[in-house]
Amino acid sequence: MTPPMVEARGLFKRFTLPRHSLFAASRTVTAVEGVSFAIPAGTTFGVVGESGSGKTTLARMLLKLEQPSEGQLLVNDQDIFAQTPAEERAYRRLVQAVFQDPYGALSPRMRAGAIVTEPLRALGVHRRAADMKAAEVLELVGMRRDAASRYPHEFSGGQRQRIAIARALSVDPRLLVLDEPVSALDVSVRAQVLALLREMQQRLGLTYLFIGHDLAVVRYLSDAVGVMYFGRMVEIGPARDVLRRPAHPYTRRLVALAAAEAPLGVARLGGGTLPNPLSPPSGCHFRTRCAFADARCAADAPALREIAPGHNAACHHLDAIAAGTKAETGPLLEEASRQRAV
Amino acid sequence: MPPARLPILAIAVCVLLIVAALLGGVLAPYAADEADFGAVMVPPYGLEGGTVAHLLGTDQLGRDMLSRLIAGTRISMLTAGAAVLVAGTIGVLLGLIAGYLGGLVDAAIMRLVDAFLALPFILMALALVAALGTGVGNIILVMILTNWARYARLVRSEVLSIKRRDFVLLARVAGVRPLTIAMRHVLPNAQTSILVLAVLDVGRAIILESSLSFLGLGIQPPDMSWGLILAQGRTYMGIAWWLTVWPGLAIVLAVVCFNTVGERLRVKFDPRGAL
Amino acid sequence: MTQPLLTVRDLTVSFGPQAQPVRAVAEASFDLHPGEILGIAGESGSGKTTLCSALIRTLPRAARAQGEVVFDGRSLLDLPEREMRGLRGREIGMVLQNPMTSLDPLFTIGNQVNEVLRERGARDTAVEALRRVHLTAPELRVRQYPHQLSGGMRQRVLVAMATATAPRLLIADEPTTALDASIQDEILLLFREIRDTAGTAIIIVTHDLAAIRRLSDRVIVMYAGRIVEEGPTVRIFHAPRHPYTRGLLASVPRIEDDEVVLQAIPGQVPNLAELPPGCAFADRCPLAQDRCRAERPGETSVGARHRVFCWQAEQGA
Repeated sequence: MTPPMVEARGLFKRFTLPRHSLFAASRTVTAVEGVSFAIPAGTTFGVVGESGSGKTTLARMLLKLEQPSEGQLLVNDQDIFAQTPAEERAYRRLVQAVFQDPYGALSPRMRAGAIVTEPLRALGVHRRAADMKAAEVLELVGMRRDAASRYPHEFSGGQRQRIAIARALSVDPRLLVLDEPVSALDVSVRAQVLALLREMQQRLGLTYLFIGHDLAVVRYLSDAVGVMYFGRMVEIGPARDVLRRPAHPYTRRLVALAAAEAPLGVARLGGGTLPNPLSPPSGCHFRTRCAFADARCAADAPALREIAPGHNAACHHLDAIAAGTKAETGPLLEEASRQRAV
Repeated sequence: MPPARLPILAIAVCVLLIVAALLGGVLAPYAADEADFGAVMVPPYGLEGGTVAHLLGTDQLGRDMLSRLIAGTRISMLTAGAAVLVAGTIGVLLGLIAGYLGGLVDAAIMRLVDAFLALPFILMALALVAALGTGVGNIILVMILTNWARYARLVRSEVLSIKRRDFVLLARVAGVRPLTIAMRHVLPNAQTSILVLAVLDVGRAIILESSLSFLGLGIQPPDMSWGLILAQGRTYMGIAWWLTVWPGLAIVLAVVCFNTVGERLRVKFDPRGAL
Repeated sequence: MTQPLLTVRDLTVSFGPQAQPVRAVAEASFDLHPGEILGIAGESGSGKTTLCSALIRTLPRAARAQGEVVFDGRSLLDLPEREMRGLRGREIGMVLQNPMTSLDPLFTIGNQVNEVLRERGARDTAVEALRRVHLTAPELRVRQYPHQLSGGMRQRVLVAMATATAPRLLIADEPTTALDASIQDEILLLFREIRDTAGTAIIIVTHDLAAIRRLSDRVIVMYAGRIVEEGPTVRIFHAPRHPYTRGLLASVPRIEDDEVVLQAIPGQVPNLAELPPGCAFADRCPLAQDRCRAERPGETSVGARHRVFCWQAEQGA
């Protein structure tokens, strides 16, 4: 079997928050907690989760915008946080990114052509060659050639996102980090951009890390999916399996909510609360919103375990839930004292 | 409020002042220090005893007030302009460095900024003039020292917000060097606020220079500035009002016009101010 | 049939010069009955938000609104500003898009809720108002500041403020856009509950078709400033007649299918300043014919309370 293009091994990322006062202890938030996954070359790994799940931090580490506190992130078997300057330059050429906001991603004072050629110019490519490449990639993403001489405000949101994709493709990368690339777009345009991303992957053999919160969109593009909840990977496996036969109670709820025919109120909780990232609940983080939580969930954190080939979930009650024999005991809330400390 | 009204009058006055400063003597009917004891304290044209030869009258030595004002414009505007330019450059550079590098460098620069902003201007001016002596060069130096910190603070806060924007992150992902990012992304996006502060600062610098000169700490004769003319005419205020009113009016006009233009620019470029 | 609570007739909102105005909303007509939930769907530039602003008269000054808006027998467009102010808040509540910026960061939640309650002469206390929208631990929340609350909690606070005096009409502009899926669901439930308990009529404006399908009784689809289709929710989602509505529904991937397919609508939303003489959607429409490009389609009734503005509405039904 060929080695994966991207491999994360036990990644942690902790942020230290500024102190409340001079004498207060400094507080840390764990944004990513022991996350491991692998992305085979030419495939898409989708990461889903709600805000605060740590999925964006994951993307930023792969882009080397953040450094992990622990663990390794390997790309083509090379630890990207132990690179020589020459290796780093090569890596910058290998990986590119497309972000959510088509308005923030393009500098308002640069023409589309200059925006698209910026990564090339940073690599020292000559201006003439860069301009030719810009025209080529702009055409590739379905923009007219004359777009190069116009400013971002002259384009619609969908067109801007196309320019952002063209920019990412200009250096012939092998790996694209897509952080909610279609969330800010209108529905009809979203479909165009998703189709474009899929086409680019097929034509250029790209590898994608796709971050999203819309499950249907993630499933459209992804081969494998990881579900994150408050920093932990709670379920991971082939996209079809995870999103059609979800095992973890959290994934089950997300999938139920995403169904096109879902009635109002499928996610109704019996008074569950979102955990406070500063003092996450003991044991399983999801126990404060889970219908199946019991004492064991508060006592230890469940580890990922395999339920089908390549399909893992982290829950103590997987079998009972799957068999439908687990009683719904309601969420296990935090002690009142910790609640007040918010 | 009609949104697109330009302060045409203010712009015209600013342009006129800049032209007068650059051309100087060419516009003036007489040499500024040409004394004429035959025509001492002639009142402005239109008053009893006034003549067309001296439109704004003459002073106690018979020097033409119009020529003196034009000469004063030159010094006042040039000192203000030079001070703003140099202070702006220094401040922008330090602000850029502080905001971009962060950490200890940032802390060091910003404490320096705080220190300079906390010092009373007149006190610092007195100390410097005492140490270095008076003169055009030193007065510009005083104004640079008192002004750069505000640019540094402004630019730093702009940099802090710009550097979190997606296009800067993407440039970092692409491996663009920090210096290039600063020049290509950060400065162009901060330039309007810098420009606005600079235009507003011209008015401020004119006042500073005039105050210093009025106190005798600034421009020294035979050089001339509005503040100095004002100071020299003060003795005769009771019998020849035009010796003080003209330079005073010039200062007020210049400051009001530059502030109007600056304010207008601020509204134009600040999306919250628009509409 | 009961008397409509809100009647809108030929509402047009235009910007720019009188000679060649840009119509953000053009000739919109619809009714809203008491206790009804109406969803207005559309993409950016469709005019859905401008339409709402026109109803409650919060349009920017450069805009001109023409037509007729009758709320409970009063013509809103002709009402003096002072009476309109009284109406807003007391009889017409509003919930806006961004729960992050709609609260003042400098005051506690209790402070802000109380201010609204006092101003509108409501008898509830802040704690009661917050309990009504199922905010957990309301006694604690009234002492907290907006930044200490999550997005969902903030949106609940805003809903509590908007419904403090049991308004007869609640206008919600993209109320769930910034929220996570499970929180969205809870907020939508809250709207349904407010309608069920207080009989409030609700207009929900959003680009999120799933939210509209779950919550509303009736749907209006807008495109380039015009209503293109209106009908009962079930009809719109299961038997859409306008090609745009069909395209919009087809471009949402469905997670429950074996293979996720997705059909994009080709082309771009047209520029409102350069609209063609005919149907604005003609350039992107698979069914478009010469007539569509030349002549603006009129209203066609295609069933009970289901109308569509399309020359090809009879085809492919």
